[in-house]
Amino acid sequence: MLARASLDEGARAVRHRLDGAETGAVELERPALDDLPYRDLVRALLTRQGFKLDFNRLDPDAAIALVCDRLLGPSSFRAERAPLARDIADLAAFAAGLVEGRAAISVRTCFAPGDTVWHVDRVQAPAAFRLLWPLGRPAGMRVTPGVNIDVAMFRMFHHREHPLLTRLDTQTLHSPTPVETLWAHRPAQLAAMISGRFPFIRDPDLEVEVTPGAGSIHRVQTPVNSGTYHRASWANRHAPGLQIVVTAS
Amino acid sequence: MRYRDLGRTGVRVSELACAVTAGADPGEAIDVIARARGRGVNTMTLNAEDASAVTLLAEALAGGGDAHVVARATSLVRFDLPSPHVPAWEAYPGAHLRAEVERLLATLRIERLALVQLHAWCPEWQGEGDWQEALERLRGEGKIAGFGVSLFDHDVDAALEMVASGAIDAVQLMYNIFDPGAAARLLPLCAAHRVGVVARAPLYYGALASGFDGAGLAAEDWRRAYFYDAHRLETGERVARLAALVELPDRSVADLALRFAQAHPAISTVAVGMHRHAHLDANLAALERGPLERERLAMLASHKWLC
Repeated sequence: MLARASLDEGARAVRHRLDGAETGAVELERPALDDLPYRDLVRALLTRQGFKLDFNRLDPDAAIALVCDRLLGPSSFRAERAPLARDIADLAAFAAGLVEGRAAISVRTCFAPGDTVWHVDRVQAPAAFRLLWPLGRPAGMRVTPGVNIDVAMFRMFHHREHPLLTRLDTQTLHSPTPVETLWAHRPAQLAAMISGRFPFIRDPDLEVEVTPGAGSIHRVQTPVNSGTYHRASWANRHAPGLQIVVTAS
Repeated sequence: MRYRDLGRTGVRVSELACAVTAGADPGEAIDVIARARGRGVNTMTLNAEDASAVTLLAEALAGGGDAHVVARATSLVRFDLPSPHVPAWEAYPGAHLRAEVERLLATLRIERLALVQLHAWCPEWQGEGDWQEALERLRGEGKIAGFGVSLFDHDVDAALEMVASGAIDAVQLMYNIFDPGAAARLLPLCAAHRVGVVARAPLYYGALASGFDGAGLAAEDWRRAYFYDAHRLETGERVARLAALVELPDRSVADLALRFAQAHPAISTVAVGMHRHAHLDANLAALERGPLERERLAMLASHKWLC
């Protein structure tokens, strides 16, 4: 089970817990979707075509307005936009506090099949963490300790697979073609994504699932720090949820 | 030996290029390069950071004569994967590129490199840093005939915008029976923009060569880790399926694979690692028979795997 944390504890205490976690990850308490004032907005977004938006210089209010205007109509869910944007801003501020740095925010509702392969996130910064809060998806992110990875094999696996996975994610975002069709010529690799069994994992049962609906924070690989090994579940394929992603560095 | 244009550079490269590495027996490797040149192979590729390969090539070229050297530049940041989060000015600063080109010219005792290529190219680097300006100056000074990008294995879409921009002279990429992905969009785009193409790993790091034994590779050979058990076994099964397709005039899967790579008209040269005389002879014999026939190319389409 992952160590648990809450925003109320403050960034410093959670950072301390992250630094002591074997996986480099903690689970973050979050309200259930049913209890949120913007649940109908989230559910409406999940009925639309999958998208991804990097906020860049947009503040959360403007970014959520952009998403709602484009996908749901200019006057849609007026009352629900602000509380969603506020929650995103609070999460971003909290994540930034973990490293006393800046937060980059994105939201997405698309399924990225490449995420079902064990990987580490990477940035070029002294220290970085990623906060993830998925709303409305059935399965939680999986993490495993670094000792459970044959690192040399992992590196070679991704030497071959990383660009192929990146392209698959792009194809999936822009085309309704099923993953099974796109990778029909790669049955072994497709089976691994579905099962979560990969050759570089020493003990396939040594993985922990973040409670569905909860948030999580995990370490991002930098030139001086290792990252958390994690993967998404194939079970989210048809219901990837609204994923709020904050990378603080 | 037949020759093809290296894009707009004005350089005519042999269809076969020697991918230079030191190998287990540098002496034989030097002899192989010398013999290859005698048979008309005028193109050599290397990684500039591979000091032993540079030294070996310098010895092989000591006798003079035409040689078109294609060099992959050394990144100042070590990365295992394409790394868009590493800015171009950190990976490939212009001053570093100039210094490396001048060092190569001095070591190899040649007046001009055919090509300098930035490896593990990320589209984010287009317009970033001063690498392009530096390489344009080197080209203007006649120290390089052209410059371009070298793509991480299987990452063929990374060069689309750069090729379309008209800013580069050539692309280096993996192209083989298992990964013909470049043929879908990138190679036609290169042909349309007269951008040269250096195809590497036509034998998929030796797996498509005769007698390949991934488990028997030397401990210091990086391919031993690359072909970890699951990878090696699946590769072996796929090579066995290809073996059933070999028919005269081809004598091996390797022949089929080389003529496959040679068959795409957008490809300028096919770079193959050759440390032994037998490898050179076999590769030359295969390529002398010319590109693979259309119907056999169509048959190989179902063997794609790494794209």
